[in-house]
Amino acid sequence: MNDKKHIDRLFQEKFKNFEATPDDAVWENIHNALHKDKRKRRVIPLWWFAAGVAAMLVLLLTVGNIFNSGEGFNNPENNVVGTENTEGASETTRTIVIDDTKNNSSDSDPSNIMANTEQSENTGDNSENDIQKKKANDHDKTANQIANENPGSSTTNPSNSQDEVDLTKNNKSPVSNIKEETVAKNTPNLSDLNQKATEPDNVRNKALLETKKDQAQIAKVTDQNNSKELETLKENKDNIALIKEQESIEEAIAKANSTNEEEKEEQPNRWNITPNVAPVYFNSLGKGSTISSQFVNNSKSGEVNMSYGINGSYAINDKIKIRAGINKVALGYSTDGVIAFKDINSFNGGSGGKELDNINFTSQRKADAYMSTSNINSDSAPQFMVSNVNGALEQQFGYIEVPLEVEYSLIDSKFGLNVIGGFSTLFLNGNEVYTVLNNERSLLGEANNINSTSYSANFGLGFNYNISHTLKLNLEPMFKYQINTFTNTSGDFRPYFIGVYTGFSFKF
Amino acid sequence: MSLEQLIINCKKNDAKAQSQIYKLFSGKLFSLCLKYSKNYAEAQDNLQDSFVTIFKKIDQFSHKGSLEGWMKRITINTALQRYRSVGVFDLVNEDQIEDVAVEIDDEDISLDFLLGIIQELPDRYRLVFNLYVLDDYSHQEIADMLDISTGTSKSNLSRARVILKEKIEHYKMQDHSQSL
Repeated sequence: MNDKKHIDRLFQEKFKNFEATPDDAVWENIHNALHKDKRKRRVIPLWWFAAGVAAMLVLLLTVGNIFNSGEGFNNPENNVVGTENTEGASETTRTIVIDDTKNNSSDSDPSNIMANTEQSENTGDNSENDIQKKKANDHDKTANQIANENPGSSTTNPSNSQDEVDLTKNNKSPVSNIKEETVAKNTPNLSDLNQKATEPDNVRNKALLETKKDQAQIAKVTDQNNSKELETLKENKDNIALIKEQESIEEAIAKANSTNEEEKEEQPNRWNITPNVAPVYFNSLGKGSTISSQFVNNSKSGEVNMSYGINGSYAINDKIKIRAGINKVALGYSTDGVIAFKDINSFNGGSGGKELDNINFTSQRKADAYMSTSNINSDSAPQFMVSNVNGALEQQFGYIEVPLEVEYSLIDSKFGLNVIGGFSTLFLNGNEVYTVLNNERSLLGEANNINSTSYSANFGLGFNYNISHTLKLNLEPMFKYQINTFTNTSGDFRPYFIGVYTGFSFKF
Repeated sequence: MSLEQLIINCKKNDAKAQSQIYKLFSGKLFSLCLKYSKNYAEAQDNLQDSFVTIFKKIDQFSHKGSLEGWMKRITINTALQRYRSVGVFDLVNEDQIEDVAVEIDDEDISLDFLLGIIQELPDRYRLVFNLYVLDDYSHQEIADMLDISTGTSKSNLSRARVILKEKIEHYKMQDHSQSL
């Protein structure tokens, strides 16, 4: 008999190095549990992907434009400090002032502010201030322009001093010394304001701080500017700071209240619906023919047709809208200088008439033959050919267009300006070829080389005018370059169409 | 790749690193699951749940102890969780003889058999026996983990020992009679 042993020891010894291998399925399940989220994310709807591509295109275009033209300073976006307004330098001024007055108002007695606001509303102060502000903005713009026109030059002094003269006129205070020491000059200006001397000082300091931050941002954005440009900018910004002080604080509070209200009202309306109508002009970028190789060199003329449809858009944020819709669009062009031989094949005449490769003829027109006048030597050809039967071939086709585009807002005020980019899927729904002889139009057949589904790359500008909060008038010139439209073309036929889309859009 | 690096990669939800960690530790953790479960299928479920928890919470692993210890605690907790929700730890009569000396002959008994009789134990006995005997938890710790009193823990352990002894002896008798 063996030694007796405590049962715990027995189990402990046995299980000391116990290991067991689980099924492979366990790991599969663990892996799936940990990575199923990723798989879900991969199934992104196609149109989201497409919208992303379109957005990238638009962004690249706009960013590229800003950097290429070297006008980054003028671009309003660079001046915006943590706000969503993009109306340019004037807007920046306003927002900075609003910030400051907010700070001020929190410090001071609320009843005081109320009184001030009322005062500004009731008295003529407001209009005066507005005029002042407009002038101030004008100064700012001119100063900016000059600064940009003369980069790195020291000739900005006159412009600045001129501004300052104007400013002092507005303030009606005697200023003898017109040099760049704006800070020193602030004191006489400020004394004109009804406020205590310390309060405007705060405003000025904060404003200066803000503008300095601004400059830092600008400096980051553009590497091209040299230090002198920065200096001129600084001077401009100092002017802005001056202008700000001239705006009375009451007015600023009134404005802050109104802008806040506006923002609150605008937020919930993200959806837009826009019925639109557009004249569309179709043509080709290269020389070629969709009908037959013999017409490559014939003159072609694009036709103006109509497009109409409806678009819906969703505002992702203040700047970017995604939109999709459905349009019916008709396109067409005519090939001039075509001679038609009626029933030539029944006579079995071999005078050079060719059939047209890309046309399926209607049954009664099968016997006809067509040729280009460019193939006929007018000396040798019979007289009637040259003079009488000079006609045209007119090709008409229509699509149901499903555009998917991204709108990027550059200016968003009463008048708006957008850049639009995207693509359309085009479903063929009309396809006819006519002969036009002596103003007589008759159906010839239909083209057999138009794809039933094709695409177009779309670029354009959008102008709009806000009639009310919910109603906008739009005008959008669009260029649409067609892709994969024809299967078999002769020469270099690269079709496009241009449309000027107009319509009202309703916000809801 | 070092274990440190593997942990860092696991924190990024890197599938390769997770696979490596699984290969390194699944054997030990599966043995743990087998002890705490009624059967093989339940053990696999426990292992799966444990590893999912481990990889989801690995960014909380603070390198204070060993990774293995941390993973074991998670695995045991996962196993206990299953019975906590079922509510098997009813109060039992605590007037039991505590810690009787249960001695048996030291003979060669297969691991499979021992594992089998552990799995056959009633849930509460099995958990306490495993925690106390095989994983070195004190009665106080067990009482806290299972939300029972230390007395219950001790009596459960005693009963588990008695049951296991009987089964081993029964098995030996059968074995003996067969060999005769």
